[in-house]
Amino acid sequence: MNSSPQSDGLDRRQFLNKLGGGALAFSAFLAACKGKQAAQAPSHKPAGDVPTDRMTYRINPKTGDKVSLLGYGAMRLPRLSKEHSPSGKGNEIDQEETNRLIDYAIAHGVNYFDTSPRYCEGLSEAALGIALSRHPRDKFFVSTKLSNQTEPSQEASLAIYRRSMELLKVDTFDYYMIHAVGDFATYKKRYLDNGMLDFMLKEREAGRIRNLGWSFHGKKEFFDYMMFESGVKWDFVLIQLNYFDWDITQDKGRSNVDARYQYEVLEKLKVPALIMEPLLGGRLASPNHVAQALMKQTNPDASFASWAFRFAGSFPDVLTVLSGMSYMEHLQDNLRTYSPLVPLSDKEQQMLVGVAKTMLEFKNINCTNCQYCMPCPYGVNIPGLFMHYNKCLNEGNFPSQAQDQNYRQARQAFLLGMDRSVPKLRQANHCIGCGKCVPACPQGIAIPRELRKIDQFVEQLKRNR
Amino acid sequence: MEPIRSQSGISRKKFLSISALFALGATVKANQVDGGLAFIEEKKAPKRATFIAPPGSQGHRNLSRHCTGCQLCISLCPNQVLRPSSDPAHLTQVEMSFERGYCRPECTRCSKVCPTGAIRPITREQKSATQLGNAVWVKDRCLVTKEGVRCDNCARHCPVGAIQMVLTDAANEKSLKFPVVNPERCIGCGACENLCPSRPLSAIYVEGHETHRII
Repeated sequence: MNSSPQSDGLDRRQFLNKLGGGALAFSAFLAACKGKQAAQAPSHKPAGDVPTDRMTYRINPKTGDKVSLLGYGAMRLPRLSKEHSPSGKGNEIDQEETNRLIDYAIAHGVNYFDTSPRYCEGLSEAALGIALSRHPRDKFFVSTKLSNQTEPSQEASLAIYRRSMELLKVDTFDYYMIHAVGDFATYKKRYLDNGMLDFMLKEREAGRIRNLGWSFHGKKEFFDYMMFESGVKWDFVLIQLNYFDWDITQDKGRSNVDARYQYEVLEKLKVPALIMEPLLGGRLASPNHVAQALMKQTNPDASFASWAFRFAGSFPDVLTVLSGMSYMEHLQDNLRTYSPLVPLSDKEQQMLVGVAKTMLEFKNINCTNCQYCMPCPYGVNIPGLFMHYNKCLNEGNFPSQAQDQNYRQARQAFLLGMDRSVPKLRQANHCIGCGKCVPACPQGIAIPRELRKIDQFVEQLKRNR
Repeated sequence: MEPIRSQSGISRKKFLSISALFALGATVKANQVDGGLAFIEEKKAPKRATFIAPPGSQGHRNLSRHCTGCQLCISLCPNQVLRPSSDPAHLTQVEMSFERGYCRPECTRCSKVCPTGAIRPITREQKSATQLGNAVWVKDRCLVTKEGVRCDNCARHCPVGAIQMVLTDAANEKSLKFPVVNPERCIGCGACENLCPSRPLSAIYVEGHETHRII
């Protein structure tokens, strides 16, 4: 960023004081918190040099691994557009860009990389393997998961395990996970009956799995079972944690437990927590306009995403915070936030409580675009429709006179022309309500119900045209 | 030794005090006249961490691989937004800057004339959803902070409505407002940068995205 010399008006400190005081008053109005002055917010410049040697690291109490607080998630790797894809179909992983991002991350202190055999339509492990194999093995920790959702037989599960090793080009997994379990019946089917849990425990003994854990989206009873009754000593647990999910128990079909409870149990039992969805699929990187005002009043230089990362990183027993970064600008922003981490002050936490409350008033669909529900057997592009619908909703929150006439026309045409983002055959009116997607959604969205709502919404739009 | 004197025989001290008086007179006088035009300083391009690639180019990689630097788009850009890069890595290849205008929503001229596929054809609709970069506010340069005056020129002219004005002091309805850019809505067209009253450097400017995003 271009820094200019201090002007002779307000200096930075006075200005921040003013802003801080203001923000507090506003959050007092929203969150009913009391106090006189917000703490001095640390500065996060929106652009500028990214330090290479100031990353915050956390120590794994079992192995002594020194893990970077920013972990790289390979669920949202960059893809090739149609024009550039060798097959002409598009959507292959952009390996060149992936390599560049991973190299940059390693050069700036990131050493934790997470993937799964299911990510990016199954292309993630291979792409990550290629990128990481260009670096010395002692420069990174790699984690993947036993994603045997579709075929839980022992044979198929073992094949998944071996294939992961092959694709990632490693002979040990630093961290290995039971993938996305939320209830006992599924756990029994996927890991107990087929002997896979025993297999993984043996692999851990043999040193081929250095840390064994599980990723959780589900019911409190199952969380308690895993923590207190399963009889396994887990080395870590991957949980969803962000300032929106922290305290607010939402209407979630599949999950009935907030992040606070999960973290507090882990903290008590001294099991390191790994964090996923710190940004809620990017939604916390551009929250609603009321939330944006609150954040910028507190610190005009901090990016919206940086608040979410500081929130997740401020918990001392968090080992690493996974972020699926598709763009260099996102990676740079997150690197800046954690190089080094400046923990949130109490007042800043209060501000984020206020932000979370504003989010409840906007009726966006809680989709993080994780693609777990895909492919839909009837060809519906579920996350594509949800993303598009949220855009249309956000559009409605803006007064039309605030926009250039020409822009407005073009934008409306773009949004109405949903066929562009989601082809006709993949739209909401092709959902037959079979419900196959519902158990797959980690966010517990009632997908068929929401799709029906979108169907009506689109119909309305077309009639009013 | 004789004290140094000027030609007219006035001492240095006297000369200075007289000229100070004159200077004072001059400023007072300047405030009193009617008519005339205020001096407008020319805008300077900000130093961007990431250069801005025009809509249709899809971002740095496609642009830098295909642009031959023929200058056809630059010579035809009706808004004077395009220019040849002076960065040694991209020398003469096209890039955008907003000192003389901004990338207007109805225009797709450059994408129609590019002979090499560096800027691929793009429709107005696609352009309205293509994010070239994001506007960044520079607090120290903004008139609101620097001079304590009310200004919302960037927010008022944003074609997308991506800028909201936020109270510096939330408790005081009358406090000055500063701009907050919505990073999801901002498409990086540069209207705010172009129309910002801060000179020579604008207090709000666009940082490019290496890869364009569809929003």
